[in-house]
Amino acid sequence: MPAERPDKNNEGQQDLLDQMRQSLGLLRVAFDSTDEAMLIVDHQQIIRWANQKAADCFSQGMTALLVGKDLGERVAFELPGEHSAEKATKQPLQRVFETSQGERRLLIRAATDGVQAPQNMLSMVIWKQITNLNELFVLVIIRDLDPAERALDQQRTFLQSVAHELRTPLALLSGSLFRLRKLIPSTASGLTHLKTAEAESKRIGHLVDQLMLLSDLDTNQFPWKLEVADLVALVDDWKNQRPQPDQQSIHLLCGATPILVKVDRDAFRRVLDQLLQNSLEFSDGMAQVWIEMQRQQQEVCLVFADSGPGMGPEPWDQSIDIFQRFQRLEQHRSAQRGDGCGLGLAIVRELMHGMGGDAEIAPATDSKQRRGLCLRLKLLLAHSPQA
Amino acid sequence: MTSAWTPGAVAALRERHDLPFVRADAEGRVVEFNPRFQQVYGWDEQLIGQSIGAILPKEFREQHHSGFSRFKLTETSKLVNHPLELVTICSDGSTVKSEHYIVAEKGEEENWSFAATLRPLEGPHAC
Repeated sequence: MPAERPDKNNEGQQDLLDQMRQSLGLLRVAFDSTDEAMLIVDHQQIIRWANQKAADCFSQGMTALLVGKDLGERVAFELPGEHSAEKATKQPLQRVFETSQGERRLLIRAATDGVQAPQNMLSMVIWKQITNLNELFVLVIIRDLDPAERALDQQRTFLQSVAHELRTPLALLSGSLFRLRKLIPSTASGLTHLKTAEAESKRIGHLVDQLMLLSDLDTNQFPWKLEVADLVALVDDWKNQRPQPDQQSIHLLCGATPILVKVDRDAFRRVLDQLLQNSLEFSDGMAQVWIEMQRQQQEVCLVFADSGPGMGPEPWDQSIDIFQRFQRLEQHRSAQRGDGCGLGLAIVRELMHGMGGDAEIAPATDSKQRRGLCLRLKLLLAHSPQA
Repeated sequence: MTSAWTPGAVAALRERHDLPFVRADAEGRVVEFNPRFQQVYGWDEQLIGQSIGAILPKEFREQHHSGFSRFKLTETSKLVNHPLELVTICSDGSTVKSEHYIVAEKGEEENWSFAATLRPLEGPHAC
């Protein structure tokens, strides 16, 4: 009957409201049951939502005391190893809001006094921007490190101590060798041994630096500065900043059209430096290098090819992963050039992964010149949804 | 988790004539307030029937709705029976920092009732 229709509509709406309220309540119960502190902040870093664990850690168990407050006012984020609380509270927070998502080990504590939260707890902070609503939000999840992450962290601390203990004697050794070389006549028979000692001391120093870099990458301590930049200009600048002899070996086939990618400039220069160093090292300084860019729908492939010995004659041993740590190809070992650390390409891949990209081996080109190692470096275009 | 309800708690708050008092029903809709509430925050009868979320700042509403829904399921909350410093929205959109003291009580028909006294901490009515 027509007269009953409004009531039925109202009942239907009330039922729907009750169902939605029940769903919302169930979600809330679930989020409050986790051991992870969860916060949602708006674009002004104002806390808009928090679960019970977040309230337990940062506001005496009451979510109402967190909501409406500035995140930095309630939660102090500090980089491990930094002791200036003033400096520390800002930088990690800025990282959260500059990148769409990420995770990082940070020291966390409640920013207010009298809160029974663990002080300076090393935690994993995961953040993700929520962009498909009418305003921008960031979900911040703070959790304890799992056993594997704790083990990696202990390993990093151990490596830092070892690196510190090694660097001082290495510096003394290098200085002594340098002074000794000045005292020995250039024709003396011991000069060859002295040069070997100098090269080995330099190699150990380089190995220590590379191990520390890998450890930072493994434990998310690498100071990433991701930004949108023109890859063509970046590669061009890199070439121009190399010493003159290197510049003559580098051939860019990149065109002039800008290609915007999400990249960390310093990290990407490290990648190119490492690849060039490999090319020069394995060709006794004679390598020529070609860098070409292939733009695709969501990513750009930078093809790095050289005229060096490459992976040797095909077919390659498929069990060999040249990006694996301490991987060295038998055919590249040489008494004259010494032995590389075997960490260079592992670092290249980790740095590329850190920028949301990848590094992979590519088949050598048909070119007679570019018959050596050929690698594809992939980076996400800035407009890509994943970037 | 704090026990959510105390018999007679709503009536006890209603007796505090010197403080603004507001009460909401089980659905979170405002059902009554005292003259002091009207005097301090400016709301009139039009508030009756609206969500109690109307007197909370926008940034509190997500938390309020999810917390309210959770209470319906669990009947427990850490917010009740504690003084809480929160911001209250006045009828003209201005804000007054206030100390909220919220209580919950189950009525004879098993319906929940939520009431609060709001002590203004700033402005001309601060006490």
